Amino acid sequence: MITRRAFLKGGGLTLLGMGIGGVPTFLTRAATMNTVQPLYGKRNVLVCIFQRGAMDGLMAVTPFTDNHLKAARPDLFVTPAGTNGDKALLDLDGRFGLHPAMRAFEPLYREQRLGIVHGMGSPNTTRSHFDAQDYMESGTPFTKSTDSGWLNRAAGMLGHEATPFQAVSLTPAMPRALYGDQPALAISNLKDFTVQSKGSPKGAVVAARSFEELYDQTSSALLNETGKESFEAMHVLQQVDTGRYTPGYGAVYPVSPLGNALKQIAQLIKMDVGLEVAFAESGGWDTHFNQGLPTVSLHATWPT
Amino acid sequence: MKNTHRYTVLLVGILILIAVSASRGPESATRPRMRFPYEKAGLTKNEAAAHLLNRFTYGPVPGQVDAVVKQGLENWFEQQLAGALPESDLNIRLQTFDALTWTNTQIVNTYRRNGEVLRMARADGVLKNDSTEDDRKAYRDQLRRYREQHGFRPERDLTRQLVGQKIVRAVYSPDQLREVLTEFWMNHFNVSVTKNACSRFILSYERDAIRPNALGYFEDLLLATAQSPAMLLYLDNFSSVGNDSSARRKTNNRRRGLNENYAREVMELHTLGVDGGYTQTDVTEAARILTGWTVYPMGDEGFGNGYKKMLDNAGEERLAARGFVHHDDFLFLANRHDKGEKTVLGKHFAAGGGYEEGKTLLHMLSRHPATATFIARKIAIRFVSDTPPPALVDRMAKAFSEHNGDIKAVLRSLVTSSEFWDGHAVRAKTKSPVELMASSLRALNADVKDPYIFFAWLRRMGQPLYHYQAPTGFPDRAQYWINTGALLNRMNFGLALADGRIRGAAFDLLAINGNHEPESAQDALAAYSTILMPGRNMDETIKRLTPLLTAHDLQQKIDKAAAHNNAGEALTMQEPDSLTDDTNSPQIRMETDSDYRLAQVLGILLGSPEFQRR
Repeated sequence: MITRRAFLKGGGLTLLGMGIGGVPTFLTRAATMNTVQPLYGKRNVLVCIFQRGAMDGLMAVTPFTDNHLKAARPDLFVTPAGTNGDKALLDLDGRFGLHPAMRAFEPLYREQRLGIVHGMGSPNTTRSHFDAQDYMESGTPFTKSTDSGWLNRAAGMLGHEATPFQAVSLTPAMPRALYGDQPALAISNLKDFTVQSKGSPKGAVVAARSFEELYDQTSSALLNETGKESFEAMHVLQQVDTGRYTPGYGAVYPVSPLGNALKQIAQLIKMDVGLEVAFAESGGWDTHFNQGLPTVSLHATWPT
Repeated sequence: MKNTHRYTVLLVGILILIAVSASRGPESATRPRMRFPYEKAGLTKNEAAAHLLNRFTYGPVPGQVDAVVKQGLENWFEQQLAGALPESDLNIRLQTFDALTWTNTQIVNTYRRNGEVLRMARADGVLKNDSTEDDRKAYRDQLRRYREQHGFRPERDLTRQLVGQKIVRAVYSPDQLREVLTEFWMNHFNVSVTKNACSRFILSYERDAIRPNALGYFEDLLLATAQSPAMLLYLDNFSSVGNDSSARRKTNNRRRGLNENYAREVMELHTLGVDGGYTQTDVTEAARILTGWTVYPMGDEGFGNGYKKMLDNAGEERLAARGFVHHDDFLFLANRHDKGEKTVLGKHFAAGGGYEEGKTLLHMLSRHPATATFIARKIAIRFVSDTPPPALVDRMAKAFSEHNGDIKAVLRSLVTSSEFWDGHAVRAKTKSPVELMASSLRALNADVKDPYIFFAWLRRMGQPLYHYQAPTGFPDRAQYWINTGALLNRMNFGLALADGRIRGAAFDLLAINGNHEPESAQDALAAYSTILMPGRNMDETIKRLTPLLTAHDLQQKIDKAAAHNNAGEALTMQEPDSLTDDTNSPQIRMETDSDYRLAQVLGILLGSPEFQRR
């Protein structure tokens, strides 16, 4: 079992390369460049959104000049000319087209603020959704015994001591991608992230103290460590006001699990609590049948 | 003379033998008496009884450890395996849920979707086709009145009943093991309310396919789930049409075709496991075998209207003669079936097969050695630890195979193993949110008035029952349940429940301690930690908590902390939470005159790390 301290002392890269998973070359280059500077500036935040199900990349951004694709999917193939009048692809660059359901992304692409990386995926061609998802999150296709997730290992390479809020997942359960030795938090609701004893503020303090004491000495490692992380994070949050949050630029977040998650990520970033890696999920991308016909749909429950 | 004498002795001997074996019960005559090896593991009888209750029930009720010791541990377990205790009290509590006994047809005819109701109202002339935007309120009122007149109910009422009955059963069912296994198998053969098509059929799924078979044979479970509307709709097999079938040829509708979803998941998740040795070809061939397995039309505007007419016209006898099969809500449409020859996992299915080849396939899967290991491992994880010893799993798999998938046999091999009683296994499991909630309510001898209120807490703690979207069901490992947010919610749950802030339950804290009022925090801790967590050594907990809970020497520190922590004050001024209210209802007796708060002691015990383990 590799402890966090050992991990940081030993140098994340060596341990990573030792067999937990391969080390992406861009990281090795960056790490060897200048060890004084942290790998990521404090202001940069990576927000990772996992589309569970999963989203069909070839339908989201279609290489519409590709004849192999046309031959393989005669009924699902769409071009900027469209199958019905309003189902045309949005031509991005003459070769790739954006699915009309994602038209909100088009202006970002035109302004060169959005990059799309195509043809990227796991070399493991398992047809099991769940295995494929696990491999994506553990970062080690073909190996099921990996305990940790890629995001957790990446967070460990940030080159400085972690704050309790370094890695946060806005989900009810910790995603596999964040399993591991780096402290990571799973919070579905910032407001609830405290010991509550309504009508009795002193009671809340006594209870919180008692819990902190008990979890500190419990023999279960998982309860002990998680308890520590919870209380550390709670103390940090107590210093800031988690009350009402007004999104900037007049943004209106949809009332949905993903909308709520993104709103709270924005809130956490602005609270300046040291957030660097955030994770959210969007579900329902598994289009089980009748994908595409008669109208080309991208999501299992979206109206087409 | 000599001969008759010999025969008489023989006859008497036989009669004695019959009498002896009859008195020991029919089964025990063929099986050696079970003995639990807990003494070797260093457990006292009390500790052993507590361990049994922690694992095979939703948590001990006050006094239950002593009762089990008195009954005899093995006797208690066998009684739970039989799962046939009288349920009169439970049934009284369940009476409030009137949909529990309905057929699927009754359910779809009452819990109608909005689209359906609209169509009916228009057909009846109650609503004009174009009266939409102008008079929205009147339109909605008319629709509501129409619904009321016909006794149509919104689906959320059905979900309330579904969740409510499960919580009531978890807390009050005398057949605790059957209830635990019902939840286990529901999770293994997961279906979800989040999928609209199947949501209304989940009540019947649990009641008719899962619960009756939970303590029986695995194959019966597999077949029952395969033919239940909930599963047929959840994993899409209801729509699967053979490419080589007459139905396909007739319509030439390219939308309809083979659907492999169920065939894949039945192998990957229900029987063999993802590493069970099947290939993609096996999945496709299995899907072909299961074409035609679909749902019998239910309700006035239910599923299967496309073929309802054909079924009505033909009549049951003619259909049976043509190879159609219908029982309960299951239908085998012979005209959708792919009659070609197939090969699955090396077994050849000759051309011309019909309904029977599906049953043969499921039988084969249920008896496959990979299935034995897969199921044994899952059961070991549920009842022993998140990482069960491989030797134990092998033994349980062997019991599974040798007894044709008899779940009782697997459980017996588990409970008589030394690994089950080993120090590493005792209290090694972390309670799921459902287990935490149910064990809290049982430990407090609570009277649950409104079970559905607890659903919001279950959701916060990460387990929205019946709503897990993927067919894998909720993962059974501590790492999934214990993360920072969920852990805080568990602590808050304990505090809120003990404080009487959860409206759904009432209890009497002093009564569970024999109406003896503890005189100090230390007394209270000692008394109630034993009630809540029998059979455990709580000295360390008591030692650590006593100074914190004893008000007199800590009052100044607390005042200082509360004043210091302005944010702390702000935190407790939350917006009103509809789940809790601050009134001390007269049904809840918990305040005492002492300088500590009994409810707070209970709350901290319920949220303590020890109580999170079973």
